[in-house]
Amino acid sequence: MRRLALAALTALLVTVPVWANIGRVKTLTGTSRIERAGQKFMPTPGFVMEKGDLIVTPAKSMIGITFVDNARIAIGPNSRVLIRAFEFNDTTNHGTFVAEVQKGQVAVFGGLISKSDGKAMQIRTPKSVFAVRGSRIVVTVK
Amino acid sequence: MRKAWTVIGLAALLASCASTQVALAPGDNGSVAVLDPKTGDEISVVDKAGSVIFLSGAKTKVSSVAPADFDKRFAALMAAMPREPKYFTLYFLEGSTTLSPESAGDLPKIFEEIKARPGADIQITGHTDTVGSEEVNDAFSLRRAAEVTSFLFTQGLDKAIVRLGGRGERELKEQTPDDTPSAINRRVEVIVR
Repeated sequence: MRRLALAALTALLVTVPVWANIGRVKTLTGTSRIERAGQKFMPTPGFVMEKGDLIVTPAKSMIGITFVDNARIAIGPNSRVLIRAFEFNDTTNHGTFVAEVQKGQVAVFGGLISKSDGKAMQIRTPKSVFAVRGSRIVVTVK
Repeated sequence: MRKAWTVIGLAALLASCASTQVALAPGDNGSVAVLDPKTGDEISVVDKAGSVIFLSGAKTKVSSVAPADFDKRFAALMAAMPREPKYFTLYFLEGSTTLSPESAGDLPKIFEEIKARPGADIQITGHTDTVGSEEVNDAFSLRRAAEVTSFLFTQGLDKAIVRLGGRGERELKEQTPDDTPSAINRRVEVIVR
C-alpha cells in the first residue's frame, strides 16, 4: 500500500503541473474566451485556468470558475477580467489572489486565500483597489 | 483626423468616468477593505451585508441594497456561479491506513458527486493528530492523502482532476494538547469542486 501511494504521489507530481493549475471553468453560456500568451481558447467545463489568463465575455455570454482555494467567480456579459496573480500553498492555506476587473460585472465568493490574510485577495478596477475578506460580493465596473 | 481625436477624447472621458460598485451579498459575514490604489494602505472596511460601496480611486460612498433587490438584480449573474464545493471526511481504522467502514461507504458518494459536476476536480488533503513533529506530520499527512488517492485511482478516479495536499497537524478537528493520539484528527478530507 505504501509503495502504491508513493507511486501515486510520484505519478501526480510528474504528470500534473499542479503549480500551473489555479482553477477550472465550471459553467459556460455563450462564447466566452480565455486569452493566454497571445493565444485564444474557447473553454469547455473543466478547462484548466492559469495565472495571467484574461477572461473575455461577449454579449449574452457568462462564465463560472472555481479556484483551487475554493474561491468562486461568475463573470457576466461584456466583461474583461485578468487573473494578475495567483499563488496558493495548500499546506498552509496561505496565498495571493489578484484579479483585475477591467470592465463588466463579476460576482466573487472569497475562498481560503481571502481568509488567510487581510490583503491576500485583491480586486483591482481601473481606478480602485479593494480586498475581499471571506466575503460574497458583486463588482460592477462602469 | 478629427474623428480619430473625437474617439480618443471619448475613450479618455469614459476612462475618467470609470467607477466601481461593490455590493456585499445579503447574509454575507465577510468584509471588504478599500485600499489606497497608490500605497495599498487600508482606507476603510465595510462589513455590513447588503452594503453597496461606490468607489472612485480612494474616494468611497456607502449605501445599501435590500436583500430582495440584490437577488433580483443579480439573479442572471448568480446563475453562472459554480456550485459550492462538497466536502467529505474519511477516517481510518486505528493505527492503519484502512478506511473505516463508514468512510468506505462514502466512496460511491464521492464518485457520484464528481459525475454530477461538469468539469469537476477534486482536492484530497491529509491531516494528522498531534503525535510527532510538525515536519514529520506534514510529510505523513501528504502520504495519507496519497494512499487514499492511489486507492481511488484503482476505483476509477481520473488522475488528471486530482490535487493532493497535506496540512499536517494545522487543522485539528478535535482540539488536543501536543503529542495526543486522536482518531478524529487522523483523517483525509476530500473536496469535490
